[in-house]
Amino acid sequence: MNFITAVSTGAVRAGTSVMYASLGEVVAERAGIINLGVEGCMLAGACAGYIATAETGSPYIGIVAAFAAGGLLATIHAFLVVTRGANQLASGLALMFLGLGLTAFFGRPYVKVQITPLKDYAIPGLADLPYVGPVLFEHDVLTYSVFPLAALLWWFVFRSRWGVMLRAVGESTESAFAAGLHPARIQYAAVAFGGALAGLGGAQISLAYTATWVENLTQGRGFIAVALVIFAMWNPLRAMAGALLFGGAVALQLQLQARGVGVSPFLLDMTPYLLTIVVLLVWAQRGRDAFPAGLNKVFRGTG
Amino acid sequence: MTVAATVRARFTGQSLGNLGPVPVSALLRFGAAIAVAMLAFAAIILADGTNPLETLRLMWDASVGTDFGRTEVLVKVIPFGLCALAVAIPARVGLINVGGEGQFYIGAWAAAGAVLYSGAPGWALIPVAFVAGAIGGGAWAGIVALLRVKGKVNEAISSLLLNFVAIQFVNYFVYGPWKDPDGPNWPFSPKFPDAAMLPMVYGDRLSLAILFVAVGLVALFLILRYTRVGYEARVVGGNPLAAERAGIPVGRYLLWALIIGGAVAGIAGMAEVTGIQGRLRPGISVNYGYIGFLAAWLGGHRPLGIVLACLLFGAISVGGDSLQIGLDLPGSTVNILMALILFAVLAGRKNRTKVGA
Amino acid sequence: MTTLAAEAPIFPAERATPALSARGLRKRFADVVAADDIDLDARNGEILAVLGENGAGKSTLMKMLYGYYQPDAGQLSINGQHVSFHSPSDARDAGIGMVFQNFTLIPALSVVENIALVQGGRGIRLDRRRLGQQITELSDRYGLEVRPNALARDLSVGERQRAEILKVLASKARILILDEPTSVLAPHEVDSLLAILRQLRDDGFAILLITHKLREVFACADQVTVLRRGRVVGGGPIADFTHESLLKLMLGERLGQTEVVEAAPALAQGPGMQLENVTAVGADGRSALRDVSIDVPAGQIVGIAAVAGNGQSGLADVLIGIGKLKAGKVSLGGTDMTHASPATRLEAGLSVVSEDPVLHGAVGPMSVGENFMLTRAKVDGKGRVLQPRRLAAAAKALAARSPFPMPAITRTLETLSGGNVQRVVIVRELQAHCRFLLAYYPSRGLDVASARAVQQMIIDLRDQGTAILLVSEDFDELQALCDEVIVLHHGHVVGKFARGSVDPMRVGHLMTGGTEE
Repeated sequence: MNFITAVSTGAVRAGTSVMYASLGEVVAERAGIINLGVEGCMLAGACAGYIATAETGSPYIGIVAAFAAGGLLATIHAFLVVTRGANQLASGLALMFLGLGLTAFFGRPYVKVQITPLKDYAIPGLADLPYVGPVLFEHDVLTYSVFPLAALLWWFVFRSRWGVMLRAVGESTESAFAAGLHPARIQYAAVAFGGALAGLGGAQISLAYTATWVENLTQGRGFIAVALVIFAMWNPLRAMAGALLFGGAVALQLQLQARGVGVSPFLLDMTPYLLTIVVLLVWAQRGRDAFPAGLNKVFRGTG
Repeated sequence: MTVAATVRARFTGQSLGNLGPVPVSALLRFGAAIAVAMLAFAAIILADGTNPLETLRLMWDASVGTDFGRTEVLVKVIPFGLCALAVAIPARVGLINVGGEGQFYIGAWAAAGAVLYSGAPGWALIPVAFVAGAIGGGAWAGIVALLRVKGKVNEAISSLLLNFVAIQFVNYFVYGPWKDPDGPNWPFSPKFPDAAMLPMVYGDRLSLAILFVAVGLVALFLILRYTRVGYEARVVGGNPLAAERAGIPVGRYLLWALIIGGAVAGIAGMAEVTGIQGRLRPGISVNYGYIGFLAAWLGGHRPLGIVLACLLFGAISVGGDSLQIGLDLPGSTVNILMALILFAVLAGRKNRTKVGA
Repeated sequence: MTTLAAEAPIFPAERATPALSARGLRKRFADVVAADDIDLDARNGEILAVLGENGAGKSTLMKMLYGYYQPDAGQLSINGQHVSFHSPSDARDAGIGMVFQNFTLIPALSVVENIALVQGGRGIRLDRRRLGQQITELSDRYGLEVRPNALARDLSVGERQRAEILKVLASKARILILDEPTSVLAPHEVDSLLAILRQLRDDGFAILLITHKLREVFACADQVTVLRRGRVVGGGPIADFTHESLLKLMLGERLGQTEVVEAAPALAQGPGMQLENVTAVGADGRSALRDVSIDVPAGQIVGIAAVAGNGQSGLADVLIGIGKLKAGKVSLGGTDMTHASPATRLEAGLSVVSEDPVLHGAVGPMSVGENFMLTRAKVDGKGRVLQPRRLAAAAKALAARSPFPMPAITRTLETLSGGNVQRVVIVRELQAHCRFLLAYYPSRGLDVASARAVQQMIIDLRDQGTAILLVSEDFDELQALCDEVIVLHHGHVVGKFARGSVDPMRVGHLMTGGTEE
C-alpha cells in the first residue's frame, strides 16, 4: 500500500471517533452549551460498549449501549447547567473526571477480555478501486455512518425548521422563549444527543479501531473534539474536515515512525489549533463574534 | 478589641469587597455536599461488589492517617495550588484562564532548558530554573493576554487551544533535540544534575516548592486587601466599565493578571521537573491545570478557599494512589469521588433564574 | 392557503367597538404611581398617538397593554370583550403585536428564519421558498422593503425595524403597538416608516404609536391621547389640536413651584470646562456630538436640556476621555485636555455623575465604603498601601457628612436600590475638591427632600468656584439653578437660553425637534 493511501486510510479510521464527538458537540454548542466533559462521554461509550459486547457477544448491542451511556452522562451536565444554572466549564470538567473514574473502575475486569469487534466491510466493486478503494470503502459500520451523519447534521442545523429552533436557543434563550419555544427542553436534548454521539465515537475506538479496552482509552480525543468544534466554527461539515485533519496527523505520525523518518509530527499536530486561533483573531477584528451568542455567558464569566 | 471579638466580627460576613470570609451557612452547605458525594461514591463502589467502607478507610489511612500520606497530600498541593493560583489571579480581574495545563508545560520546558543548556554554575541552577519557568509560563499566558487585549479574542478559548500546542511543543523536544542520547531511546530529556534539584523540606518528596504555594497564596491575599493595585484589580473584575471611567488602565490589568497567572503555572511546571521528575518527559502533568481550575473555582478564587480545596483534592488523589496497592482498584477511581463532590456543590448553589426552565 | 399575516379586518369597522380599549388603568410601584386612571380607545383603521414626555407613564401603559405588567385596577377589552393578560403570550394570542425599541430579532439568524420562529407550525422541514414568497408579498403590500435572506445583524437600522414589523404581522397581530419607533431612524427613514403605518392603517389595522415627537403625530395620527405624570390630560381627533396646544398639554402649566431650591445668579470666575467644535462618537458607538461648543465658566452652572439618546451621554465620554473624538478640543481650567487620559482629568478635579450610575459609576460586588474610594483614590494620593480600617473610618465620615440618609458602608452595592446607588455616587462625586462637575439627572429617583439636598449641594459647589454642567429633564430644576441652558437635539446644539429667559415651551419645542422661530 503506498504512502498516501496508507495515510489517508489511517486518517479516516483515526478521525472517525473524534468526528462523532465533534459533531455531537456542534449540536450542543449550537444550543448554547459547551461541554468540556466530552472526553468523559467518549470514555463512557467506549467502556459501556466494550462491556456490552463482551457480555452479549454482539458488537451491535455494544453500539447501542455506547450511545446510551454517552447520552446519560451528558444529561448530568445538562441538568446542572440548564436546571441548576451551574458554571458550564466547571461542570464539564467535573464530568470529564467522572467519566475517567467510572470507566477505569467498572472497566477493570474487562481489560484482558477479548471481544468480537466490528468487522470491516468492503463494499464490493468500490473497494477495488485503485487508491480510493481502501481509503473510503473498506471500513466498519460506524466509520461508514459518520460521513452521511455529518451531511445530515449540516442539513439539520442550517436548513431545517428544528435547526432554526436550535440555533435560536443558542443565540438567545430569552428571544427563543419570547417566540414560544422551550429553551430548556431543547438544550437538554442537544446536550444529551451530543454526549450520545461522543459515546459512539468512543465505541468506534473500543469496538473497531483498537478493539480493546484500557483505562483512558481515548487519550484526550474528547478535548480535541471540543477544540475542533471551535476550529469548525460550529459547522458540521467543517468539523468533519477538521477531524480528518486530526486523523491524518495521527496516521502520518504512525507511518513516518514505521518508515523511520525523523520528521517531527508534533509540529504538524499543532497546526489545527494555531489555525483556529488565527481564524478567531481575524473574525474578532471584524467585530463579529463567530460563536453562538448564547455561549457569551460562558466566555464572559457569568456562566 | 480582643482577638476573639475581631475574629467574630470578621465572621459575621463584614465585607471589605469580595474578600470577606465565607459565612458559616456556606461552610455547612459545603460539608453537606461532601457528605452526599461520599454516600453516592459508596453506593457506586457497592454496585460493583466492592466493599465501600474498606475502600474509604483505606483512602483515609493512606492520605490522612499516616505521616507519609500527609506529606504526599502536601506534595500534591504543590501543583494543585500553583495551578489554582494561575486561575484565581486572572479570575479576580474577570478573566477565565483554562490554559494552566499549557503554561505548566512551557514552564517545565523552560526550566529544563535552563538547567540543561544554560551553562549556569551549579549554585545558580535553581534560581535560573525558577526564573525560566516563570518567564516560560508567563510568556505563554502573555500570548493569550495579547490576543485578548489587543485582538479581542476570548481568553478561555485561546488558552484552551494553546494547551494542546504546548503539549505538542514539549513532545517535539523530548522526542527530538532534547532526547537523552545515553538513554534507551525513550522520550526523556537527560537527567538533571543534582544541583538543579529542589531541596526537600520534609521526607524525600516534599520539596521547597510547597513554600512557593504558601508565599503565593499569602501574597495574593495581602495584595488584594492591602494595596492600591489589588483594589484597582478588584474594581476591574467587578465592573470594567466603571474602572475605565475611574481612570484605571483596564487593559494593563488584564494583561498583567494573565501573565502573572501564567508565570505561577510555569513555576508549577518548574517545581515538577526539578522537584519530582528530575527530567523533562511527556505527561508531566496529570490534568493539573484542570484540577487547579476546579480548585480555584471551588474555593471562590480566594486564598483560604483555594487552600481548602487543594487539600481536599490532594487527599482524594493520594487516597486514590493507595487503592491500586491495597485493593487492586485503579487509582483513577477516586476521580469519581472528586466529580461527585463538584456535582454536589454545583447542584446546590443558588443561581440565576432560568428562562423557561 | 394560509397567508402569512392576519386577515385585515373588514373596513369600515363599527366606530362603536374599538379594537383595543382600556378603562381606568392604574399601576403603582412602591411609592410611585406610574399610571393613574387611564382610558384609551384604539380603533381599526386608525392611528392613535400616545403622547407624553419621558416619565409621563407611556412605557408603563404599554407594558400593561402588552401583558408585561398586570394593572392594579382597571379593565382591558379587545373588540368589546373583557380580557386579562398574564403574560406577553396572552397579549400575542389576542392579536396584539408590539414593536419595541430594543429589537427582538435574533442577530445571527436570517429574516426568514426569524419569522419562521414565530410562525409556530410543526414538522422538521422548512419551506424557505414559500415563506420567502409570503414575506415578499407582505413587503410589497406595505412597503416593508427587506432582504429576506440577510442575517438580522447585517440589516440597517431601518431594515431591522421593517423586519420587526413583518415579524409582528407574521404572528397574526391585528393591533400594532410601536414604542418610539423613530428614535433610532434617520430623517428619510422616518418618512418611510410613517408611510408604512399609513398603509397599514388603510388596510384596517389598529395602530398605537407611542412618541414624544409632535411632527410625526401631525404627519400620520388620526387620534391623540396625551399623558402627563401618569394621567390622561387630554385627547381626541388630531384635527382639534395644534402644535402649541399639544405642547401645553404635555408640559402642563408651570407655576411658581416650590420644589426646587432657588439660586442667586453667579458670576463667572475664570475658565472651567470648555468644548470647542467637538464632533465625537460615544463609547457605545451611537450617541454622537456634532460640532458642539459649550463653555462652562468656573463658578457657574450650565444646563443641558435634551431627551435621552440625543447626544448628551456622549458628553460624558468626551469629558472623561473615552470613545473617539473626531474633531474639536476639550479644556479643563484653561488646560488643553483633548488627549489627556481619564486618570489625568480626574486628578485635575473632574467629577462625573453618570447617566447610568449602576452601569458606569459603581462596582456591584464591592461595599459602599469601597465604592467611595473609586474615583477619589488618585486624588487622595494615599500611596500604594491601603489600610482598610482607616479607609473605613474615612468612608463613615463621608457618609455622615451627607445631607440625606445613606446605607451602611459595609453594605454590598448590588443589594442597594437604584436610588441608593445614586446617593452613593452623588456623595462621592460632589465633594469639596471637585473643580469640574458633569451631573446627569442628579435628582432623578430621589424623594423631594433628597432632591432638594442635592440641588443645594450643587449650588454650594458652584459658589466655591466649581464649573458645573447639569443635564436634566426637569424644567423647574433647569430654570432655577442654571445660569445658561443649552438644548441638544440629535447631537447638535439647537438653542441657548440665558438665565431668566428659559421658557419651557420653547425649550420643549426644540427638544422635540422643532425649530427656533
